[in-house]
Amino acid sequence: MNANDVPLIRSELPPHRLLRVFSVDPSLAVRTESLAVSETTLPLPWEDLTPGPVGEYLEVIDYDPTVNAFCVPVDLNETFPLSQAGYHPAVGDPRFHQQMVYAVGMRTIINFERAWGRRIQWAPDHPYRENDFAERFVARLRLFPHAMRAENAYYDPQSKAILFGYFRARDTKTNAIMPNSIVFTCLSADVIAHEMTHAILDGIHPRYTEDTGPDVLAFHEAFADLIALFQHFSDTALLEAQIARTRGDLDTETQLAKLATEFGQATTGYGSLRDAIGGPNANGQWVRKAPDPAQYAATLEPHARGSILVSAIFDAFLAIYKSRTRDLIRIASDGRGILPAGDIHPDLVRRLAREAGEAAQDVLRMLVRAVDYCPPLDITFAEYLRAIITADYDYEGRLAAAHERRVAFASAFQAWGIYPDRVTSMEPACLKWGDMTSMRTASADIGVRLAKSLVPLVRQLRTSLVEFEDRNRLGEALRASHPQGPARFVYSGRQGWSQENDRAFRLAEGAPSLTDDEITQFLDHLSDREVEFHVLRWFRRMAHQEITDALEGAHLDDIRLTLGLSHHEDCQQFSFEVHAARITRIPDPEVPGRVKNLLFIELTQSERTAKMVPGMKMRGGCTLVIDTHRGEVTYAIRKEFGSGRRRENMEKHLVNRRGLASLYFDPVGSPFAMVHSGVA
Amino acid sequence: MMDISVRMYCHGLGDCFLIRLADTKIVIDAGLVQRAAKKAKKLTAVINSLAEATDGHVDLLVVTHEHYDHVASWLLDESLEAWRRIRVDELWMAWTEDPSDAYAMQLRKTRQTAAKVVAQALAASEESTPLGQLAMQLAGNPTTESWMDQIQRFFTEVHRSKVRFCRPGEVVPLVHDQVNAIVLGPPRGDLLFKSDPTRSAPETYAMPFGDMAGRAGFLLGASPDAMAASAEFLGVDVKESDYLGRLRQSMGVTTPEPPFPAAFTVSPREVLSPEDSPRTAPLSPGQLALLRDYLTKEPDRQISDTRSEQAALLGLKLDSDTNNTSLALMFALPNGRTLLFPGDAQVGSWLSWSSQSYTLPPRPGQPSGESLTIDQLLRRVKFYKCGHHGSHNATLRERGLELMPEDLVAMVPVVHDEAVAAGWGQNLPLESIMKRLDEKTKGNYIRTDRVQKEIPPVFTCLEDEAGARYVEWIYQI
Repeated sequence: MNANDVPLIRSELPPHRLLRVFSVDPSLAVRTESLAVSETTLPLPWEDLTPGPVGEYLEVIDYDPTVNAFCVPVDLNETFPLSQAGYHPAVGDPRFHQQMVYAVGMRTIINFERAWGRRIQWAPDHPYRENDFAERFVARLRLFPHAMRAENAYYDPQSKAILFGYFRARDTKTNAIMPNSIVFTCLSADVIAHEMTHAILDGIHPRYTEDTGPDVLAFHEAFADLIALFQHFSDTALLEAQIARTRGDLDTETQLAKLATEFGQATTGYGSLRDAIGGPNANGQWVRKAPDPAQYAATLEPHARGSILVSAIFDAFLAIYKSRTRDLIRIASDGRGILPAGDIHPDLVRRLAREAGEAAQDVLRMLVRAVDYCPPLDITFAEYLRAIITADYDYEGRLAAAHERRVAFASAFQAWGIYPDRVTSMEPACLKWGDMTSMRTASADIGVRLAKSLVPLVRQLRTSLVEFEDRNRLGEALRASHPQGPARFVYSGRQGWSQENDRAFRLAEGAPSLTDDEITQFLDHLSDREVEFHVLRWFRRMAHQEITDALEGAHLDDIRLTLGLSHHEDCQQFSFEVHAARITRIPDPEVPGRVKNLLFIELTQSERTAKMVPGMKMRGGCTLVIDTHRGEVTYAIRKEFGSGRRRENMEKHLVNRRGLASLYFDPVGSPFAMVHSGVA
Repeated sequence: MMDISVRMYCHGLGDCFLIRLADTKIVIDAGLVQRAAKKAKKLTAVINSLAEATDGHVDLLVVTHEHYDHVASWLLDESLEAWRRIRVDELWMAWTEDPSDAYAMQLRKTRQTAAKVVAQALAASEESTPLGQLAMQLAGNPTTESWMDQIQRFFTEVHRSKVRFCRPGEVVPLVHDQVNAIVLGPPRGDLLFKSDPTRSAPETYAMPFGDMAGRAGFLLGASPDAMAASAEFLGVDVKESDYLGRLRQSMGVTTPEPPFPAAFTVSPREVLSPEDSPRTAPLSPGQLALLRDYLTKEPDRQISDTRSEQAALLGLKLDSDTNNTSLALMFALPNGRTLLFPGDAQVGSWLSWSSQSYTLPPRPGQPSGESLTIDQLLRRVKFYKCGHHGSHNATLRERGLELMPEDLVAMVPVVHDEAVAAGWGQNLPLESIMKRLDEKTKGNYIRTDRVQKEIPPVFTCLEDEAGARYVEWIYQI
């Protein structure tokens, strides 16, 4: 009997697959002083990988269209890579390139899933046909490590793929890098994390790729940079080396605050593409960036504007880190608070590194959780701040340490001149989204109506999700084919695409012709994420009906002021979409032992009129946060559809939008392709 | 007392200005966009009109930069012939065209090489597409002599004109020392290559032109030797048939080398019919399945070659860097006011104007002249020729338009429809700049393509016997 034929029982699966990657990018591996920290080994959750690698979330396809050839897909289950934590970092070995994009990609996914407490979903595939609103489940994001010859890498929302470029280093006369050497963007952990974040955010908020305001694309960029930045802190060796080098003072020039080092060296000759806290002055000396409230008003280019948000949040992180380590510094300096000159003690390095690592994890979690609390479209930086604060209250409650973090965020945003409209103060409790129950009577009434009709539906949703996780129960449900039961969900979610779906259709109808084997085969075919996708689609459809019914008879102005939705001029009917639905279970921070079920539903509507600037589409809507345990709609985070001011701002933005290149080759495809190329 | 007038010809998308300062006549540029219909006829009408209006004598001709829409009248035989009837005393160009300036000549050489290699990288595109057009435009001048050299040669040979290469910071007295011409740009140094407005993105500071040739070569997969060999070929005339086809062949390469050793690469043919193409290390069934699925399923999720688009981005950058070589001039009038003619200078040039101060010659009886900063000069602008047809990156806001006073008068040489037809996009001119100009000038600004619709009372619009239409602004001090 072959060893491979021995069935493994679940507990025998290794907990991790270890894979080596460059900790930053190849630039550290060519300098003696950084060689020791140039490489790191990531412990990723074990999953069955086929050559590519292809796993549950990602598939690496190494096709290079510029030479019309593939690189041989790496098989990480071969003896050598399995025994050596994968291939060793090597710029000249494409198998390592494939391994690295997979590994860093998975690390990014894990960070999101941990913060959210749920699985991530890629944005669904739309066939883009008239009157066909079908959404297809996208199981895997595609990663192309060598997709183009360009100083660029981008996520393409259409093909659900990340395209990494490679290019010849420019001769920048600074000798930061060998001129004319080939630089691979797929070997930069920052570039991979940045693009992965674009893809994950697109799965939550597909409308954030629409350039509807100066902050929207800038937010996409900033958020992607922030995730890449805070992931630096999970690499202990790199973190400790930087703490030792800076003697714990992260306000100085450090690798931790820099993004895309090699890319920056190869294109600009400077030490990195972007630096969250400083940069070279006119003489090429690194200087710390001071908060400048005027910049936010004056900067419109997405990366430059995004870097303001990055700086503000990094400043908040530094404030948190300093507050957490002040005692350690005092202990180490006999109470003076000023460390003596020279290297600091290795124990202190480790303790400071641990504090920095934990503070970074906290901040990363806050940033990720906040995404659920953002409006469905047209986001601004100030709204993101309110989302961060609100999410943190929901997840962490009134914990003193959490409150301190919220204050750090508020004051950093204030220093950078980012203020929300219509809040009385920058005190965190004021920044929290307004609780629906405390709103004006008419709005509160709408909240009650929505809660009443949606909460039972959510209970049903939860039951079905739990049931579906148990495949045997799902099978029973399908066989029983109860008209209102789970089988229905599968049916309504999968309207005829392929053979499997035909089978699903027959299952749902209770077709007797299917054998048990066929049913089992079909069920095995569906991943947990796919089941969840279909169930949530079913839920959205049902919710649309429930919400329409619940709003029946409510005053139109009240609906507009509460949900941001408006009726079209020529009809009294609401036309809106249940754009997204997500469900998360978290421990209730206020009541020990109780679990909070949070449901996020996004309602949107759109209009395009002749009066508008070409290419402009006006949208409105809201994100509803529903606490199903309390049976309440807690927040309605809205973007008003008919708001004259929003319309005006949007027109102004579209007209001011610069970029000759994007006009030359319109439509250029991915909204990120141009944003990312240095030339645009 | 001095009579001043500025005349803008409305022959299409291109610049041609006639300025009179008392009895001194100055012409700035005379060109038309390459795609325009009946170019020679339109330009000849303009030159004939110039000859008429100046009685065949121009004191000063300024050629701002080497773009077709500024120099076409010297490149077409018919309009060039008309120029023979206008005696030009002095010809001004930017220092970037000075044959005795080693730095300028080095810049020019690298720019030409870059333009040609980028043109080759684009040559795979069809001629009718915007990319093909860009290729033609970049391949540009087929002869080894640059357009600017041709113009210099014409005027020195035909009219014995004196040539001056202007450097930033220079102040040249004109009109019996009553008016001072102030040279603002092009700058020497890095800002020459900054074309787009960003606060903190150093990546938009482009590399020198020469490196662009290398980058385009990388797209082509061409070795430096192949690039040098094919440069010979580029001497041929763009007008020749199948120029792009021959350009393509000349490089001798169609597909670049993969960046990895052959053992790591697999061609689609090997994937689709593995039995016909045996490998030393055959692929496993799992590897084959992945690659075959990619090639045969989900065509919407396949990726395509974007080398032409990448080359086009380089081409655009190259093209806009040329705008920054514009000779940017300001005329300081006896009443202290100024007339601003920035050519097509972009952000980098505008920003550089503050790196020097401008010392006017002393007035009679005074020991030294006034020394002015660019901000002071901008606060005195009376007339502004809107840069680069009103594009997004050729009118600086805070350090430019916002400094200019409220009694400003402006002219915008732009024809929106022609700009769209030429593939320059919808945003020429940029509406927000036009709106601000409208506010700033209180309506006293005019666009070439609006002369038939609305003419603010400060301007007069006329058509002369030669058939040339123009707008004129008259100013008495």
